[in-house]
Amino acid sequence: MKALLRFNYLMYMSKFHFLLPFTFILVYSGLLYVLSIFLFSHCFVISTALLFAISLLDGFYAYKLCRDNMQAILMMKSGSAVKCYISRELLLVLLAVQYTVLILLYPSIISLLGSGKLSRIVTDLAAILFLHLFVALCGYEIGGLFQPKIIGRRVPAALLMLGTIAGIFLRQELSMIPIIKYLFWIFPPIAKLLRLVYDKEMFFTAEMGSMIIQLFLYTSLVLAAKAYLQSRRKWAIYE
Amino acid sequence: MNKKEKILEAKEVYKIYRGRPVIRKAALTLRAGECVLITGDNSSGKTTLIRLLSGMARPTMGTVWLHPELSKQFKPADVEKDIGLSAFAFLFSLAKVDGYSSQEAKTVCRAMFAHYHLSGLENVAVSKLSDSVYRKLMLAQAMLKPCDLLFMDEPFIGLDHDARKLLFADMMKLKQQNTAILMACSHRDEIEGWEALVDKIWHIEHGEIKEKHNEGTTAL
Repeated sequence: MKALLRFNYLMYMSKFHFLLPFTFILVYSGLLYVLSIFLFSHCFVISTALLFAISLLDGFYAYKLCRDNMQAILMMKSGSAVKCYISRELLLVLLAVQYTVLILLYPSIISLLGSGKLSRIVTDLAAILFLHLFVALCGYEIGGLFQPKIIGRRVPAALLMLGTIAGIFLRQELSMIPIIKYLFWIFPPIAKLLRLVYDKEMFFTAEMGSMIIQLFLYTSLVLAAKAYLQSRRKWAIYE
Repeated sequence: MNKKEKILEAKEVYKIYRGRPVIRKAALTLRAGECVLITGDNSSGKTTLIRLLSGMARPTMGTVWLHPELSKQFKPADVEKDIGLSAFAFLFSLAKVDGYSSQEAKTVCRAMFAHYHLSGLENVAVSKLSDSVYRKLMLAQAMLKPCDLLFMDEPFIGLDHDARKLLFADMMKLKQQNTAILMACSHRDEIEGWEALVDKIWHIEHGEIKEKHNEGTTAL
């Protein structure tokens, strides 16, 4: 498994990819910095929406980079299609963690300092990290689902991304944009976390615990959906 | 695997793509240590057959059975070359997937580079290799670890005369080690001295597979 993960990671990082780590950070931070000057009170929404769109696209392309013949070689060598599948999922998790940690420092600190609540920095940073990590993971998983081999729909992926970005610029109408509404409806923990931070509510351990469980369940749901789609194809690569 | 033990069996296998039958009613058996050559015109279904028999594609009808303890390796006809890793790093990573430790992987990869006359190209990015060198690298990855069944799709294409001789010698050695080989070639004459290597030929014509032995031809 470790060897498979290492191979997938090296292949991902070595290919030309417009979402290379530093490009990603620059684009994301630049956009957030520019937008946050005007849209300060909605910084978290913008931050998560941007992250979701970018990780969705990156997840889509990460799956696109899986060449059929190379996957066949890996499956033969490892002797297990399941191991290959899990190693790809683990790669997406690692990418989500990597990007989330790298991009959060600047905009999160700006937002927190701007909110004037320095005493709540630790708990709020934890909430922000958790929120962004979950959104990034969701973006990667869902982006991978839109691969033609799995579903066969590139247009919905493009529309999803455009809708998210459009939502950023139409902040007053955020709830009217399908993707934003979808995001908050399908993943209520995100809305809950945002409410807690915006409304300056206190973080209780039980509240956080409850959200962790919900997030775990939702993540498991997405993974289960992917596993079901994959098993329907019976791990066959070629159709 | 015991010599001549059955390791693969296909029964009444059909593969239909968009209403067109590519493979019809294939009934095939492969035993340990056998070398089978799959021939046919371009787009006759050779690659499809390899994919079906390796388990990488599902038959539309019929079943394919593979021995549960079979170790396999695969040399595809094409893998896109846009890999940014160096040639050595690429082979090393695949050797690790094969189960070698880091030290063993380095030793085996160095041996492969020397064997296939790739020395000096270790630090060149795979995407920058010439096609013929890249094909040798893909052969090398399939030969990294001994296996019970080796699938090879157009292994001789793009190789110069010396490389073909080298590959032929490697395949003869594998056969002696009881490795079964299933390879697809457009023309058997690509393999000089194929008669000594190949035990039987599966020729695909209009989706049907005819098995040829030295004794004659039987439609399957």
